Parts: sequence; structure tokens; C-alpha cells
Amino acid sequence: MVRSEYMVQRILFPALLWCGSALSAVEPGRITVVYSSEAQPYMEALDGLRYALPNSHFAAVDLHSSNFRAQLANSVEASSNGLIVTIGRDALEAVGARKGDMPLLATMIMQSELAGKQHVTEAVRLDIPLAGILGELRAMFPHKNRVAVLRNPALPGQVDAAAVSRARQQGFAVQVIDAAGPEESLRVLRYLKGRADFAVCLPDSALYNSATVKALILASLESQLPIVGFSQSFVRAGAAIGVYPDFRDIGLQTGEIAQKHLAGQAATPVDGPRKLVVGVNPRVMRLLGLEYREGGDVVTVR
Amino acid sequence: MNGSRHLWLWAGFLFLWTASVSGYQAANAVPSEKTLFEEMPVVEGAALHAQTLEEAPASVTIISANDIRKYGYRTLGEALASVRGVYVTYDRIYHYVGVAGFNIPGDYNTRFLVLLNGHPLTENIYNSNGFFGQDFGLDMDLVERIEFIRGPSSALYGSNGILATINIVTKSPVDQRRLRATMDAGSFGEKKVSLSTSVYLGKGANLLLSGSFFHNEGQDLYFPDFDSPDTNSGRANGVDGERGYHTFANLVWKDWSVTAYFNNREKHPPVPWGASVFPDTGGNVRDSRNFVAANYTRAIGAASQLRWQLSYDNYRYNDRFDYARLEDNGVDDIRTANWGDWLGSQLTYRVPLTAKIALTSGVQLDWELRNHQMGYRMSPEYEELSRVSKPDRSYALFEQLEWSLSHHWTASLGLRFDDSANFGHFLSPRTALVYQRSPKTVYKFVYGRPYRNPSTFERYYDDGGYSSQANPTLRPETAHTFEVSAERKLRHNLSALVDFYHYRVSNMIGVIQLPGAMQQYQNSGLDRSTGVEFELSGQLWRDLEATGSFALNSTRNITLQDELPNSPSHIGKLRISKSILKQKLTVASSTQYLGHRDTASGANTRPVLLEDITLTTRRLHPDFDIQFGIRNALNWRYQDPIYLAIDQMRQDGRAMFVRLIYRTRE
Repeated sequence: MVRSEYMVQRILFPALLWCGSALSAVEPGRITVVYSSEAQPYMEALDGLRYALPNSHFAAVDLHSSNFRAQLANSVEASSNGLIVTIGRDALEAVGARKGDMPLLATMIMQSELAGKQHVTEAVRLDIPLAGILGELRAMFPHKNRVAVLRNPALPGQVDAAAVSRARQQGFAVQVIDAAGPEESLRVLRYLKGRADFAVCLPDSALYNSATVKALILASLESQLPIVGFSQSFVRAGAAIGVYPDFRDIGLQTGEIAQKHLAGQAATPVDGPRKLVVGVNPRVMRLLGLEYREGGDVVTVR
Repeated sequence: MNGSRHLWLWAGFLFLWTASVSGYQAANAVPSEKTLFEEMPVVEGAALHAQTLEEAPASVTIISANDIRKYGYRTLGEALASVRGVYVTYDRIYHYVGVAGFNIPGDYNTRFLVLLNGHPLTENIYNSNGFFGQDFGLDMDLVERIEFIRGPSSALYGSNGILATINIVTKSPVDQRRLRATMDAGSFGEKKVSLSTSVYLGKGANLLLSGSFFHNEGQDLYFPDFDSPDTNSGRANGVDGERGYHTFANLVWKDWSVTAYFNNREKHPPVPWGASVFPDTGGNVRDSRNFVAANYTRAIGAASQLRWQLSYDNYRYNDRFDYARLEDNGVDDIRTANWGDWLGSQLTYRVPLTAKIALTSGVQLDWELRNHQMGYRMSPEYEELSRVSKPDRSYALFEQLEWSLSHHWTASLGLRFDDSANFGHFLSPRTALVYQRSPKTVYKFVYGRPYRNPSTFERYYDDGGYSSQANPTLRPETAHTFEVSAERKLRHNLSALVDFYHYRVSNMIGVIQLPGAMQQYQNSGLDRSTGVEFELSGQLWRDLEATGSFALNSTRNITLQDELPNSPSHIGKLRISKSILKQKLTVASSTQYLGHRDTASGANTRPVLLEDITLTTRRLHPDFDIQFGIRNALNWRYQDPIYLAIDQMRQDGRAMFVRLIYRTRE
């Protein structure tokens, strides 16, 4: 009896597994995933995607591999009636021109990048609506409701009237203040001293980058005004709080949409991140005298 | 010709237009998802770290809090002994740090500066920076990092910044645990307990408080030089003990950081001072170095910064040595009492003049309230032997220009003017050129003309014929220093460094023996030190980290054509650490080799080979950790050149310690 169990566990079962995987390997992959290995968040999304999709349906092509074009062409050719998934803007740009008629699911992308991309059939964007950020703040700081949002006038779509109206419905006193450049954002922060409980900074590479962040953080500390940033790096640099997407969950979400697509079920054309990470910088929180309600997905960033 | 000129004009216009358009586009770029991934530099102000010198245009060694923990450094001297080219000598009262071959017996650590969060610890009696054992009033658990910056710093800090600057940066209150306690016990009756806490006071104010008590019984020692029936057969029993306390507080609130540092240490000296008796069971030396400093830092605009410091410092020194009285075979109880109190203030303003040039300007004022030295006989009858007080008033103006000459070259030009009521004026320039040949290779060239004023003790102290005679004509030391270093990253986490230096010190101040066991400080001729240092450091394999260095040095008195005492020509260091048991235990080994050294009398000491081993647990238990260390594991028998009644002192053999660490969970 023991011997037969051994035979099943050690020989027969692995043999069946091997046969199954060998057979499935012969079948063409139905989803071609194009990704860039240059940034860790893309790899996290790819990891989530791998988790959501069975290997047999999956062929991943790195944008930075030496024979990217040939690999992409082979994979697309072998995936008739399949789907292309792109992770990030560069992948979308690289695939966009030569995808043919195959449906395209773009993920890890900002809403503004989707403008004019008719060939994108579905998308998972990274933008977090203001309501989402404020919801997290409400959970952590139930008694603080004065929020200032810094907006670059060159990017008017960042915060619209509907978003402000919704924030007011959530019980927040919201001020949207234009800051056309880094110097102006410093002036705004100083102006907001005592007038707001938080300054929300939305993704903007012109206002917030490695050259401008130092002055901004120091102004925030001087004004005792916590910055709510948009990335883990921003929080590590000195923003008190950051609200940003969980990149692995975006991969999972994308995988689920891809499965629906292949099954012929309807999916939302453009979906936002469903899981957010709230990062806090404990040093800065203490310097600003902020005590928050712990729990949920709040992570400490040092 | 004309057509070609127009072509150039059009090309220029096209270039400018393209540049302006691309600049505009960059400024108004639609954010891509990469904005979310962009690495941003950690802003130091976010932790309110104290002033750092890490970016100084010089060869810098950093000892991190992690190094201190892994290698079990319990004193500042132990930590500095790990630095390339540095060696530490101990005369069983004080520790003396040697840099670039200079560590002359009788000198009180006066050719380098020790700063605590940018505040100089130099006291105003001996001008000493010599607090490296338990006389350094900060527990090593509170140290975030130690910056050892080679080369001159008089252009920034004035007197004493000749060989190096050692800046100790403490942990910010916001980085500390709510509660942390340690208990140490070790060989030779070592005992220490420490407690630190960090509390949030409201309105953004955070306070760090720390205190510790120590009591080391010391050893019973044998000195062959005193082996006679009249002197207890050379045995000094029960006269090596040490006890005292450390306290430290740091309050940060908005732009302010207030630091308080109070400590006291009493040590029994097992060896006589000058002609005092042996063994001297009543002898003791007591030091207390304290300060309170307030720092205000404010960013002005996008890139300018204003910094203001105001401080009150004090230093207390008391000693008692007994001297034999020949006429009635009794003893004179001779004591010294020194009081130093001074106020200081410094204002600096850093402003970018252009995109490539930044200027730091500063003014410093120092006002000594007193630097009182008193020698007196306590018994058989009270008599005042000497009383010296020469409080100084000084001011300084300084400028430092950092100029990015090109993509590869950066220049740093510094100039400081000091004027003092007691010592006159001095101008200290420093020039540094940094050539960043590639991201992996950097060359640094530094020239400076630093100086050091004589201390009040060296110039004025006179105890009426017992041991010291004043020398009011003593002049400042001046130096020319040259240093070239090359650093190269060989691969990720592995770097190599070569550092060449040449120092010429004029009017070197040294102690001279006079007839009748008296001493006096005098200017000597020209001394020079030439050396080269090599270092290889990095991660060799997984989490196996190692740093190896070797220093060759020649330090000579040119006038006398003689090697300086206590100056080893070879110094080797090797540190290795490895985490094992799933990172739960760190094993660290530290090896140090010193070549032979001459004593003040010309004798030769044996080379030194020291091996230290430290085992430290890491979160073995959520609340507790334990550390165990062996020092001088090879039980190497060696002597350090010193300046007391004898000229060399035998050092400790194999010793062990154990430390229990408790901290609250975050």
C-alpha cells in the first residue's frame, strides 16, 4: 500500500504534470504581454498578471530584449484571436503601431496617455481620483477636513469641478490652488500655513521631481503643512503621506479583465486602481505632530 | 563667407528655438506613469538631522550606526580605531587619537577637531578634543553616524583644524524608539546601564532624553619601573577605577533644534604625574564637558539657507596628585581646579549665486567668560600655588565658494579670518578641486593652510615649581597640507581608494622636560608627515561585508632629523562582518596591526596585532537583543607610548563583555 502511494506521488503524478505542461506548451499562447523591465513597478504588475493568468495563456515579451520586434511578431502571430496586454506607456507606444486588428488591453498607464488611442479596447489606469485620496485621509484623520489641492494650470484635467463637488459631498473643505511652477508651489505652501490641514500633490513631473522636492519638503515642514504625495519615493523623500496604487494588484486586475475578454464577457473600458496603498513617513508625521488611526493598508515608508 | 555666417546664425537660432521649445515641453509635460516611479532624494531636513559634513570636498570615512552596532563599538575611541590610518593610544587616564602619524606624547589631541552635530567640543583650557573613552559624554547608541573628514578645516572652523575633523551626528528624536535600555558588564569590573526615551510633546515638538551611569573597577597593575620596597613593589592595586554619568537631550521643534550635553567622569590614575608618589591611592582626575546649544535653520527661497547657532559651553577639570615631602617624609596634597565657561554664536547663509556657483558666508563670535586655572596645596596646610585666568574674545569671518567649473570639475574655495584678543589674527585658506572623471572614478586635490593657537594651559600654566612652567612667548603652529585621493568603484558594492598626503607643520608646540622634573611647552622647528593609504571596501559575497586598509607613513622632525615618537610607519586594518541564521545573528571581526613606535625617551615598542570579535543578535526576540564581544582575542601583549612618569603603558589583554538591549516595539 505504501509502495503504491509512493509510486503515485513520486512517479505517476509528476509524469502526468510533465505531459500536461508539455502539451500545453505546444498550444500557442493566447495573450501576449509586452512589458518593460526597466522599472520595478512594471515587474510587480507582471507578477500580478502571472498570478491571475494560467501560464498556458501567457507569453511575456520584454521591450528591452535585443530581438524584441521578432519576439513580438512571433507571439502575435501565434496568438490568433488572442489579446495583447501592454504594461506602461513605452510598451503601448511600441506595440501601438504594429498590432494589426488584435484587441489591446493597456495597463499601468495614466488617463491622459489614453487620449486619441482608439486601438486600445480596454485599459487599467493608474490615476487615483481625488475622492479616493480623500477617502483614505478621512479613514486616517477623521477630524481633519481642510484640504488644499495643488494644480498645474497647464494640466486642467487633473482636478475638475465634479471632483471638487464630490469632495465637498464627502465633507471636505477643498481649495484648488494653481501653481504654475516649482517657485509658485513653494509660495502656495507658505500661503496655506494655518489655512489647510493637508496639501495634496497630484502626479506632475514638472512640479515634483528630484530637483524640486527638497525645497518643497522643507517648506512643508516650516509651514507645518503635511504633503500628501503620489508615490512611495515621494513619501521616502519627506511627504508625510502618500496614496498610490498597489502595482501588483493592478496586474491581478488586468489579468482578470483579460480573462473576461477572452471569455467574451463585457468589461469596463477604462478601469481605475481598486487597491490603494497608503504610505506614511513616521519621521515627518512626528515632526508635524500628526497622529493617525492605524490599520488597513497603511505602510511605513522609511 | 557671408552665406556661411548666415548659415551659422540660422543654425544658432534653430538651436535656441529647439531648446526653448523642448524646455517649454518639459515644463508642461503630461505626466506619464514614470512620475510615480521617479526616485526622489531623501530630504535631510525631514529628519532634522544636524549639520553634516559628508559632502565636504575631502577624503571622508563614514562610520554608520549599523557599523557601531555590528562591531560593538562602545566608545568613540573604539569606533575611530577602525578608520584607515588612525590609531588610538591610552595612558589609563585619557585616550589619544593619532592621525597622519601625529600623536605626540604630551599633546592633548589638539590638531584635529571633534564636533557634535557641528558644534565643536574643543574646551578652552587645554584646547583638547580628547574625549574618546567614557569621558565622551554621548552613548554610542545615540550616534547616527561618525564622519571622519581628512585634511584641514581651519578655513571653516578656525584653530585646531589641521589634520582632520570628526563630526558625530546624533540620531534624531523622531528616529528613536520610545524606550531603549541597555545593560553592560565586562572584564575588569566594567558595568554600565543606559536608558533613552523619545517623546512627542505636541505641536510637532519631539524630545530625546538619554542618560547612563558607568562604574569600571579597573585592574591591579604592575609597573616594573617602580619595583622597589618603598613603592609597593611596583604594584598599583585598586587605583585604576572609573565612574561617572552621561546625559544628552535633543528637542526639535519646527526650525529649532536644542541640544543639551552634560557629563562627568572620574578616573583614578595608576601612574604618577611628574614627580608625584606611587602608588597614589588618593589621586584622581575628574572631567566634565557640558554645553547647551540652540540651532535655527531656515530655508529661504528654493535654494538658500540660513543657519544660526547660539551656545553656552563649560568645562570643569579637577585633579589631585600627592607629592612626597622630603623634609619630614610626609606628602603634599596638590590639586588643580580648572573652570572654563564660554558663549558662542555663529550665523551662516548659503545662497546660490548662479546655477553653478554657491556661496556660504558666515560670522562667528566667541566670548570666554573665564578660563580659570588654579593650582593649590590642600594639605598639610592650604596654599594657593598658581592662579591663571586669560579669557579670550574672538571673532571670525568666513566664506566658502562651491563652483561647478564643468561637468567633470568642481572647485571649493574657502577662506576664514580669525581675530583673537589673546592670539592675534590669522587667515586660513583652503582650496579643493574635485575631478569626477566618470560616475565610477573621482579624484580630489586639497590644499590648505590651517593653524592652531597654543592653549591657555600650554602658554600660561605655572604651578609654582611642582610640575609646569609657563611660556608666554609660545606662538601658534601653522601648517601647509597637501592631499590627493582617487576613489574608484570597481563593481557594484566594491570600491577602492588611494590617498596620498603631505603635511608640513611649523612652530610645532611640544612639551620639553626641564631640570627638576619640570615641563614647559615650546615651539620646535619644522615637522612633516608624508604618507599613502589604500583601502578596499564593499560587499564581497551576499551579506559578507569587508573593509581592508593599509597606511604607510613617515613623520619626522626636520630640524632634529628625527622620527617623531608614537608614530607607526605601518597601519593595517581589516573588518569583516556576516549575517547568519537568517539574519538573526551578525558575526563581526576587526583586526588591527600597528608597526613599532618610538617612545619619548627613544625606546621602541613592540608591533601591535589586535583581534576583536563581536556577536550581535538581531530581533532574536521582539523586545530584546544581546551582544557579546571579545577584545584582543589573541591576548597580544603590547605597550602604548605615553607621557606620564613613565613613557610606555602596558595595555589590556584579552577582555570580554556582554550587553543586553531592550527596546519597545514601534
